[in-house]
Amino acid sequence: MSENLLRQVAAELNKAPGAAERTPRMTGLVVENNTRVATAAVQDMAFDSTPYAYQAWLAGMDKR
Amino acid sequence: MQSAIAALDLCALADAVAKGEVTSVKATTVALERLDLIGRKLNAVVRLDDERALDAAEAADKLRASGGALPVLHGVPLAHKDLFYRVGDLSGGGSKIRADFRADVTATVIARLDAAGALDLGRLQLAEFAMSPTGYNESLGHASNPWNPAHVPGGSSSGSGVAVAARLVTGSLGTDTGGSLRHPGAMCGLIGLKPTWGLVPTDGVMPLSASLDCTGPLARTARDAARLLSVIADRDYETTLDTGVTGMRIAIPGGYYRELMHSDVATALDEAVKVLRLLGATVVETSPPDMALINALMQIVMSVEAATIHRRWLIERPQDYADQVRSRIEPGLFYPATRYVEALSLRAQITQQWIASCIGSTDLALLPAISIPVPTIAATTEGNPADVAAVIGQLTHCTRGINYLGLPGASVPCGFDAAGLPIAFQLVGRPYAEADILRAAHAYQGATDWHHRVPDAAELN
Repeated sequence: MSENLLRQVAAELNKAPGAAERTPRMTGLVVENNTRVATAAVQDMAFDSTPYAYQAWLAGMDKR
Repeated sequence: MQSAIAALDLCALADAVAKGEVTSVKATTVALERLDLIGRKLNAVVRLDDERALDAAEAADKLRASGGALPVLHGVPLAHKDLFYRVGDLSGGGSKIRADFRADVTATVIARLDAAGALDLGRLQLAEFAMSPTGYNESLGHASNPWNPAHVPGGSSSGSGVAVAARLVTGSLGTDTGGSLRHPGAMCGLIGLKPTWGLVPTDGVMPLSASLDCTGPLARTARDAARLLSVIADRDYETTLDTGVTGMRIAIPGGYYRELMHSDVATALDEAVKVLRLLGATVVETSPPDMALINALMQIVMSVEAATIHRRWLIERPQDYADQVRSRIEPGLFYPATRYVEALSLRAQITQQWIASCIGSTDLALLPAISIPVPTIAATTEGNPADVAAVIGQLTHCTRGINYLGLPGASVPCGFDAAGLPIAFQLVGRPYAEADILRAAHAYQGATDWHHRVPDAAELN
């Protein structure tokens, strides 16, 4: 993932030019975390997953 | 008399007011005077509502005199982190940007405390937008640790930690998105209890990251924390508090959770484990899963949700953020939406894996709260930015991942480092294990006296 691509995401997709100027100091963190989670998701995330599964699981854990 | 009242913990003060041994007006006057004098010296106070608080205290004393039924916090003065809304009141969230914001709702947790008879004295200092584990606030100034004012008090609920440790109020509400109750709890020598995500309502509380934000209490004792949690969660955490830890199984995860641990912290934790064993708990060693992945998931969720609500101000008023705060929000502008949804979608299975690895067949996990000694304010604000960032990262080493998992956790004071700053362990449980955490912390406090130690800044000696 290039720094220039990230700069474009901030400047054009998020309309945040100031943040785009500060891209260099965030690139390392963003690239590392993005890669780590993208890899884990491809390996471990089921097709029928949902971002709401966590709330459903929590509700099931509540014995009240 | 003033010192004797200030020395009471929350449940003792509530009992004294209920029995008429101390009037609510007297307790409120003492608290207001101490917040004004000591609290402002430690930069822990944002705003005091003297007149309203004293009017409420007078009403509380009249109700008691009339023989009416008294709720559990009747006439007890409290003050809270300045992000809990009360309709019509200022609520700045520790920021320049929201300095003039007046709430148009009252937080449910504040309403529940009102209904329980507690008095609301005002609002306390916090990190800018609740965004720092040290309590860093460039525009309002750094709050000082009552054990040593050169050191950070922990954040983001910094003023709450300072005010309770310095015996200005007996309890305070804070919030925890990446450790913001457990950090001031650990660094000021208090119980800082982060409940299970979703257990305590967060409406009417300035958000940072909706999927991670939790509201909870800071208090000197587990009993006090149980009383406050019972009120704000609308459940009972007091009945089982005294049942002890005989037969309880406690896991000690190694690996990642021991990586950064300073020798002072290691010694204090080892001693705490010995105490819990003597009390009847069984201790088992376990191993954590891939914490780098959990920390990455947490960082994506937190920064994306924070950047989403801050985006307008990041565009229009970037100069009104401290650079240290803005630099933690802005990465959220760079992640693709698929990463964010993946982070949320993986949450249940990753949490189950963590529980299986770290807690296993036991009841609770015991971790460090903070792996390193409490740093100075200078070490977290001055010098090489990389060094500052490293210290800040070390402070959240054992706390931030717990917010992604959504599990309950609490700091429990267990000693002091060579410089005289508090050390704490952290108890983490399965979802809704708050009663177990409080029971273990209460048993530990029954066998130790760390929570009875008073910092010089409290001016009680």
